[in-house]
Amino acid sequence: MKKLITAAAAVLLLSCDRNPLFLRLGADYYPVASIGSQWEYDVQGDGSVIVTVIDQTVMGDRSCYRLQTGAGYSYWINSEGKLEHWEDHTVLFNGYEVEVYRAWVTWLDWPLATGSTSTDSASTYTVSQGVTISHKWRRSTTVAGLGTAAGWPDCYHLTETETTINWIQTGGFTPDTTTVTRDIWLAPDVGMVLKATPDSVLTLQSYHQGS
Amino acid sequence: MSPFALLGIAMVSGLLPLDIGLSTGPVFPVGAWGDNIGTGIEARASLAWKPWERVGVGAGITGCLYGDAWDGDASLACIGPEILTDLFLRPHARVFNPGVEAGFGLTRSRMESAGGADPATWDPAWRAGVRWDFSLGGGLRGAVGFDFRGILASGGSADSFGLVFRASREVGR
Repeated sequence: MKKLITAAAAVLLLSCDRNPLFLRLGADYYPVASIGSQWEYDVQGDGSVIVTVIDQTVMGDRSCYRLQTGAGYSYWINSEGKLEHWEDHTVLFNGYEVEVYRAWVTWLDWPLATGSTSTDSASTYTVSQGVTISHKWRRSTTVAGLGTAAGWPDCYHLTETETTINWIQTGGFTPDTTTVTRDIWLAPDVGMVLKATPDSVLTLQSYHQGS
Repeated sequence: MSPFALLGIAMVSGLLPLDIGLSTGPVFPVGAWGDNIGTGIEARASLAWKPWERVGVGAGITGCLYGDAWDGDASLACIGPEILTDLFLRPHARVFNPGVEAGFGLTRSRMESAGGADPATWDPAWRAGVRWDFSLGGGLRGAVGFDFRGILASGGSADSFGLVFRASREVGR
C-alpha cells in the first residue's frame, strides 16, 4: 500500500509541469495608464531614450494616455481587454506632411497566448495639391513565445511585421514600399523591456511606475 | 489481498455506503487574473465513502471552463482530480440538512487566446464551501451551496467563487 501511494505521488509530481500562467493572466503587460510612469532605454550604440506617460488627453473623441518619447508623442488606450494605439500616418509630398490615415487600431488583445496572431490593415487615399496619394498599411503581430529578456522573466516575445505602401500618383513617383520587422519582449507589470529592429536595439535600463 | 481490492469488494457488495454525486454551477474569478477572464462553468463527479452517516470521504474529478471577460475569444480550461470530505449535520433530513464540503487536489490549467495557447500548468488546488442538502425523492438528494476555491499556482494564488448545484444518490446503506 505504502509503495503504491509513493509511486502514485511520484507519478503525479513528475507529471506536474508548473508555470506561472495565473501570474501572467493577472499582470499588465503594457502599463500605460499611470501618469508619471517612466521607462529608460539604452539604445545600442546611440545613448538612451526616455519614454514617459505625461498626461491624459482626447484623440479621435476618445480619452487616452499620451506618452512622450524624445520630441515625439504616442497615444494609447488600455482597457476592456485591448491595447489600442492611435495610428497617425503621413506622407511627405512637396515639402508638406500630408495626413493619409488616422484611427484607433487595436495593437494587442489581452490575454496574450503563445502562438496567437493578429493582423490590422488599412487601405485609403487622399488628394493633396490635386494629386492622389494612396496608402496601404498592414501590421501583423505574432506571440512567438515566452521567456526571459534583458533579465526580466515571464516575458512574451512578439514578432511584428509592418508594411507600408505609399504611392503619390503623379509623374516621377512609383509606389514606395517600406517593411519593418520588430522583435518585442513585454514583461509583466513593466511593459516593453527589449525591442530589436534591423537598425537598433532598445534595452530597458530602469522603470519607474507612476501614480 | 491488497487493501484496494478489499475496499472494492466491500463497495460492490454493499458493505460500505457510498455517495455518488454530480455537481455543476457558475464560477467567478476573484482577483487580477480575472481582469480578462470572465465567468466560467464548473462540473464535478464524485464518489464518497460514508464511514459515518454524517461524514463522507472520497474522490472526485473536476472540470471547468472560463470564457473571455470582454468580446475576445480567450478561454481557460481546467481539469483535475481531488480528494474530498464532507460533514452534514442532519443526514437524511427531508428539507434541511446543512453541511460543509472541502476538497484538495491537483488542477491542470490551460489558456487559449486568438489561435494560440500558453503551456499548461499543473498546480495544487483546494476548495471549501457550505451546502444545503435536501431530498429530491426517489432516493436522490439535492444540494445547493457555494465554494471558495484557490489554485495554488506558481507566482500567486488564483482564487474564485462558485455556486454549486448538486444531485447525488447514496447506495449500499
